[in-house]
Amino acid sequence: MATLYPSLEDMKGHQVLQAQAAAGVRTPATTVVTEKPKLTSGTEPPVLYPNLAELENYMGLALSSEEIQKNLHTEDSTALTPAGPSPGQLVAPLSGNSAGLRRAEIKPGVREIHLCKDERGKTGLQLKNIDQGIFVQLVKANSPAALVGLRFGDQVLQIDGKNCAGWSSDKAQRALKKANPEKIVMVVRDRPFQRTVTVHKDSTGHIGIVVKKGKIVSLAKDSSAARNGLLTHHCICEVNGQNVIGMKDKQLMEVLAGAGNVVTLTIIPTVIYEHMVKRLSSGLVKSSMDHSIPDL
Amino acid sequence: MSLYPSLEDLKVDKVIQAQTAFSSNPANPAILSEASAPIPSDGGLYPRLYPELSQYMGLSLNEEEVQRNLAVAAAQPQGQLVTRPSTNYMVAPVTGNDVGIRRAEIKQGIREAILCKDQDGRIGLRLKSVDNGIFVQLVQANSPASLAGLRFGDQVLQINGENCAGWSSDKAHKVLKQASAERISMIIRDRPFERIITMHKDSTGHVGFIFKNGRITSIVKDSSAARNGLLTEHNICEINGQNVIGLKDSQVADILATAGNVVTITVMPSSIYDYIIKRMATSIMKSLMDHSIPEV
Repeated sequence: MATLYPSLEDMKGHQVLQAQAAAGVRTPATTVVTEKPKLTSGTEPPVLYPNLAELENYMGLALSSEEIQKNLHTEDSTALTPAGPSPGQLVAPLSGNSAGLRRAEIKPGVREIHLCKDERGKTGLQLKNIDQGIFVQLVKANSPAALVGLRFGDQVLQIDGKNCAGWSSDKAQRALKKANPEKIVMVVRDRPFQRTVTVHKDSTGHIGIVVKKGKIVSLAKDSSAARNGLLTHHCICEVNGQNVIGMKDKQLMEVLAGAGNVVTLTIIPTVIYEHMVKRLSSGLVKSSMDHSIPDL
Repeated sequence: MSLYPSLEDLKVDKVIQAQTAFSSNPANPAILSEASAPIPSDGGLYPRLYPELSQYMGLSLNEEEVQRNLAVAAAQPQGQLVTRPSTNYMVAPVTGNDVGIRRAEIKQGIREAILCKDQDGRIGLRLKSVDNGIFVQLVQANSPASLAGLRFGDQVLQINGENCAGWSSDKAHKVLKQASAERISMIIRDRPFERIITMHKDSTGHVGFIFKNGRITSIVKDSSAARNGLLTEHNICEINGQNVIGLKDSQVADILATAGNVVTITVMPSSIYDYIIKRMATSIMKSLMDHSIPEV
């Protein structure tokens, strides 16, 4: 099974490093740190990758040896052992240390959460029926739903032990209203219609997308977005795990600018997004949606 | 927070946890011996658990089967973790280490695939441009593409180092045609528009959905499909990792019937599916497509 990478830049960076290691390795090494490089440039032992200067110009990324060393060390022994990473392991020399990647990650599987109502008896949650399933349409800021980690697009499978399959949006809201304010037990599937794409900023700080009204309308040629296969006709739901739906484009750009070099975008096809926010008042979306940064 | 592949795993795990907490509570030895029969000689943590569970949700759970699934991970101090190479830890007392999930699993990341052309100079791959990205529309049976593990819906990010962003389908085919016959390197993102749902058959062998022409049209109330939030208006792409696009409904039903108790289906929203197969002759889809069972 092939090695997996979160982004194309990780793959290229890793392959270059493997090639360099193959050139410099004499005997099988167990850890990266103890390896005394036989590399040609003869720099001090702590700097393992003296030839990274080539990589720095590669793809316009501003890479530094320290950054890559930091990311690789957190990957334990997956990098640079002659055997290579174990099959199926995610190798991320560039993205490895990114908290955004981990915050945004969509976990396949179902989980159970406990929700309480606030003092006004509200959960801050609005649900919608899509294709015979119930989905989270809105999570209000500073609400119990936001606290428990629910996000736009999560599918609710059960409320208090009852299957939500086939319920109308009204029925779902009623079930929430009637539920015990102390504890509502919900079974949730993590954002089934969305997916994450990890991209890297180039030296000018751009990832290569043009966004209008939260939708990706075009991709810049030879940019990280193009390389990693970001698509047009998709809406951006989250940047590094932080919900950005309903933000003005200017605000979205600010979030992107402040996002660090590794940006993980959560996207959803526009057709599905429009379906999901149908009949959701745009005023609500802009004013009360939760835009906080989730905990890891 | 634990994750589970299916709702049945979640419920069974809750019961097991409750029982464990119950039986390990030193303050109530009397209740313990009343409520549950003498602890089995193997010193198992889960006395008298399974007779009740077997009626639960109409699943025919077998004591040995559940113990076996749990024993797989019993080595860990944590108890019930089944680790899969490229996904997060998930707890799966009922699903266990099912091979269908591993075959169907959509890997979150990008990988490289190397192909060679066959003696006719073909690779057996047809590509389509969707949203300024290139996707796999068809993988022919017994072709180099099927050998490389390519599947319907995979996104091709690069061909021989060139970004495919913004290419038309014709351009993509032209590049493939002109590429060297010895080695074509493709960077692939695993089936971005699809997702997997794991369900369990009930005692009558049904999972609980009705489909026509490969599209899910309705969900049966109180079935595993309803519990796990399977949606209508989705096309079935794979069953336990085996591609079923283009097969007759009766053939798909056969595959479902022989699939074993745990069924993992890969689905794609119908609007996106229709777009990907647009202008592909149905005869090609039925006769040429690869329907083999992938290796894990």
